[in-house]
Amino acid sequence: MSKVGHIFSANNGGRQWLRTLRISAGVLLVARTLSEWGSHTLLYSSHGFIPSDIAVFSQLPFIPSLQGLYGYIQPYLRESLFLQAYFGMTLIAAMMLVAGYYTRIAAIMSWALTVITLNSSHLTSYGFDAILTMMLFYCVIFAVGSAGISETEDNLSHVYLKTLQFHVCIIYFVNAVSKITGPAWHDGSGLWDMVHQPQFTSWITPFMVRLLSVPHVAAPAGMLVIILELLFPFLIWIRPVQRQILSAIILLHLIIAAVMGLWLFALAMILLDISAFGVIFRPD
Amino acid sequence: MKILLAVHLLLICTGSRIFDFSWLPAVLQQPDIYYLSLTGGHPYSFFSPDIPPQYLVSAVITDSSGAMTQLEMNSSSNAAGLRIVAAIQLLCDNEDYKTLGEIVSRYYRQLYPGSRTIAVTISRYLPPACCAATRAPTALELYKKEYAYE
Repeated sequence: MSKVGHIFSANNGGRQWLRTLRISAGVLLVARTLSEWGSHTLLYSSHGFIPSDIAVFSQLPFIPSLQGLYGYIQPYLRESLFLQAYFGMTLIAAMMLVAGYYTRIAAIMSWALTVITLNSSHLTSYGFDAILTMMLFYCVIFAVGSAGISETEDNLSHVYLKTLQFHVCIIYFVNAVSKITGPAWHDGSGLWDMVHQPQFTSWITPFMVRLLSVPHVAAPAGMLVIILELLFPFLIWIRPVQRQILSAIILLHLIIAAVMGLWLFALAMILLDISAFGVIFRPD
Repeated sequence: MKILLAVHLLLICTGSRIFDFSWLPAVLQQPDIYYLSLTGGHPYSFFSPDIPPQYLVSAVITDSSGAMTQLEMNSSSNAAGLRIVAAIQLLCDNEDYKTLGEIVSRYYRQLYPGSRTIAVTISRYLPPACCAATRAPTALELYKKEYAYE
């Protein structure tokens, strides 16, 4: 088979990648729920830091919200208990997804609860939430479980894989084109401003500032980021270089996580990449 | 199913709003906000085309004994901190400093229930010029308000 054509073949990856996607999405939901445990009242209750009128204003009316759901049971339950029960249920659904226990139900529950949470907090959402929702959405429409798979669904497995792979390629391509359209990533000021964001700092940030202060480092480094993101959607299909390009993009996410402290977002992107393209690490 | 998935990918592309899709039927040019919310659709232009303006949000908290604590909002403080940073960016980009001031005061009121007053300052952060740290960063004050609690 040609160097490019093999990844378009109907039977690459089998069903192994679906298991990777399911476990990755479940792990991300567990990580998000546990990392916010203890802060749910602060984040989502009417006594939290977002005033109720502002939270409600940014919600989509035809999607349920935590505030709306609590309105039904307000006379019977304290809000903090309701939130504990809600996020406890989210945690159980996510762990069921990881374990592959009643997978279809777990996927639907995880996705629905995540969409409701997101609709309750648009003001405080960021890229991680979009990636998590996307992965859970695919867990719902793809047959990610192993039990009760129809022959039709089994035959569609490679179409599902291509959908996920193209989606990942769109993310990187759009991001690269967007960076090309502005001057900041050409002259290095994009990277410079990134490591100077007062809200995103870590122990490694001062080292990066010193590194980018060295003449003629920032501009080539910024261009390298653009080139990597631009080439990823193309080189990932070419067998001799696909492992290298996947490793390079994962390294980029690790650096972003270390410098900006955005560990959850980096974990989401890395798990998404591995779910979509991890099949290339399978022995031939 | 194949056609539905192809349309889905097309909507993900048009949802990125980076290319001109005016040649497509109107229904495909801009995906419905509900569709994007349910599928995790996003413009996907993280930190691009440029890094957005940065803001410094700080608070001086005075407790009932008169002791003062000065704090700066940082995403690495905790998971809730990361979420409030997202709100800071969105509200500052829309110049809604009044709402942001209230949100920050409520945030610190929850973390420090004994606080009597919380003075919130929102500033535009100006990093040193690229790419040599020869000039110290500066901050341009945009909004300041003190919130009093009983």
